[in-house]
Amino acid sequence: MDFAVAVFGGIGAIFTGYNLIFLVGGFLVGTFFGAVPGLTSVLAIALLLPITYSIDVVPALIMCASIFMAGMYSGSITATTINIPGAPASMMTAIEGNALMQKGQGANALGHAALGSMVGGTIGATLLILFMPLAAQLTLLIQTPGKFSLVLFALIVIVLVQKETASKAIVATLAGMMIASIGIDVMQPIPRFNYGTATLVEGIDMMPIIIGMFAISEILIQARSGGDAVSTALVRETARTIRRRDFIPRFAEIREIGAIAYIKAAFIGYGIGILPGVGGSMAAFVGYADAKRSSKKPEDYGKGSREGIAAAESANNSMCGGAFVPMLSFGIPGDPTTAIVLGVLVINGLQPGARLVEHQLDLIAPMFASLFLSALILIPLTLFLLGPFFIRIVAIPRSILYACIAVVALVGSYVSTFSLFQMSLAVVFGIAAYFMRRAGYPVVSLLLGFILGPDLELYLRRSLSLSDGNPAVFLTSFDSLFFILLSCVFIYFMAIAPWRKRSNR
Amino acid sequence: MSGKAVMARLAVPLGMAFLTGLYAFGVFNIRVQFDEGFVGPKFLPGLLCLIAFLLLGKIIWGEVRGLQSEEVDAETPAETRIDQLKWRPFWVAVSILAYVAAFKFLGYPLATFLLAAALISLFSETRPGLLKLALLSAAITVVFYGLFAVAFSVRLSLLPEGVLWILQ
Repeated sequence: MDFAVAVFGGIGAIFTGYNLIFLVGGFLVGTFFGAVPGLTSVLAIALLLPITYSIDVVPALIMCASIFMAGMYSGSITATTINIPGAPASMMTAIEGNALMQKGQGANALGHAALGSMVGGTIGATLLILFMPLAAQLTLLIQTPGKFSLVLFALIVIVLVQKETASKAIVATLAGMMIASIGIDVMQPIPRFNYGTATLVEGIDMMPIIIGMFAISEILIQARSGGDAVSTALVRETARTIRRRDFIPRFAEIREIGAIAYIKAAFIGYGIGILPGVGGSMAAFVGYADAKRSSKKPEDYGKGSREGIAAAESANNSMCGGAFVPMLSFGIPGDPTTAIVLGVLVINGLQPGARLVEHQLDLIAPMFASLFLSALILIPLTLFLLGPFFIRIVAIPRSILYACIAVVALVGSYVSTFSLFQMSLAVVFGIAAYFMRRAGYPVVSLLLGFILGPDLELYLRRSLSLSDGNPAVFLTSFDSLFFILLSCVFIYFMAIAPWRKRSNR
Repeated sequence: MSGKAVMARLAVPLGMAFLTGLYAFGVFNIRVQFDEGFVGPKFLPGLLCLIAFLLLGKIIWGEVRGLQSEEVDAETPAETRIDQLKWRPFWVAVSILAYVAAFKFLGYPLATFLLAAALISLFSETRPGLLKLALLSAAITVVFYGLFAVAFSVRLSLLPEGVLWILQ
């Protein structure tokens, strides 16, 4: 009951002028970054991370949540209109939406994408609000050995989702864990890996890693690739054919898709969001694949299926709610965006866990409300009011765009602590991440390894300390055994079974 | 296969192996305050090093075998565009590093103006006119000063501290 009251209070808190500005502003920023090919909502939040040092935690979290929801939805805009997904999570929408665009039904496709995002995002936010108290209670049942096994499970899943580049993913994760170990030891007051310097005794902050890996490296990657320059003529012609009144999906089409399709995709997306490090593109793909498998008209898929658009968008926006569950409960990010949101919490002295949910609900409840309102109100409103405008804005010259991103990233990394060292670190990590990405090493794995490495080591050493050095504690402790078995199940189904199938062919 | 191609494929794993070696050196230099048994401050870092070396060895071996089995591709016209672009990240990185080095010396306005001008020039398909370049760079400098200093009340140095120091 207290939780419900707090959530309603959070909704009320959003409608103060200051918080409302961050809700709407964050949504518009997220929409822009999600729509423009080559930019992502992760980049938007990364660039805004240093600014959160200067503002209160509540508006910062409201803004992050609205950017997250907007970014997941807005990739469908360019995916549909010009067949370039604004975000990886919109690849399925590009297939179906652009096919409808070719038939002169682009606005209708955009409307269905917005409706799917709205329904999925609302369901995901609702499930987050409903299950968060239960998840918080569950965290209290998990003891230290169980926490170690849970973090290990998260790291295993982060590697398994990379599939084709497992070795490189493991190396990237290990690199993140190594970087995180620089500084004071997790249990003893001794410095590690400072190599005689006083600066490194303080450790490496998350902020320069995030700015470097997601902003600076992206600029360098775009410099190398030439960028996904969007033809201005194509964009103008596309925008000319889109009419606002066509955005509203026809009721007969919605009925044909069916409420079950939206709800099932939303639950799939929410469930996938809970898994660490998986993200929106997996949610969209699995939601789409399941809808195709159970569809009455699977032959329509690939040729402009509104059901496919609805399933993909519903799943990827519902994922936003799911991704917050492990992050708020255990400090294990569900995806790169929540990893950065975790940084916002840590910067403001908030520790994820049951205490955060029970005693500091007034700080995070507005964030839940932001997710809910962004999905329910802002998605359809933004499409209807600003849809044609956003289609045009993606043709902004890349030179201006990247110059702006560089300035925000570099100045942002400076103003957070007024330290040129932090700025320099961001550049160093950015250059390193550029070479890693070109060589196929996933930098998301590095970030998640950086975040989870200290917890893994702390829980390992604490468990062994409590059990007098007996490693059997990880098997005799029920919660630990559960997560170890879960890891084995995932390893089997995601790695061993596909490998056996390939070998038998 | 040319030496450059070999370097390009092996540079990252070899670089990471070198850094892992530095990290391993750091493991030996950890001074433990009290004994925690086998699993102490050195355990996980040591394990990370071991796994990293094994996997990097596997990756390097895989890259070497891949290089041996590849045939040299004939040059295609498309490679000219790629060749033109391959030095652009280098110049972008140099611009960014110069900005960091000069940020306090020149102050926010001048340093940011120069960075914006450099990046706009580097990313533009056709060289922009000087006046247009100056106006765009100035606009970016002013807009983001407004964002940081005015909207978020963050103090940014307007005066070139290095130049002032020289004049003293």
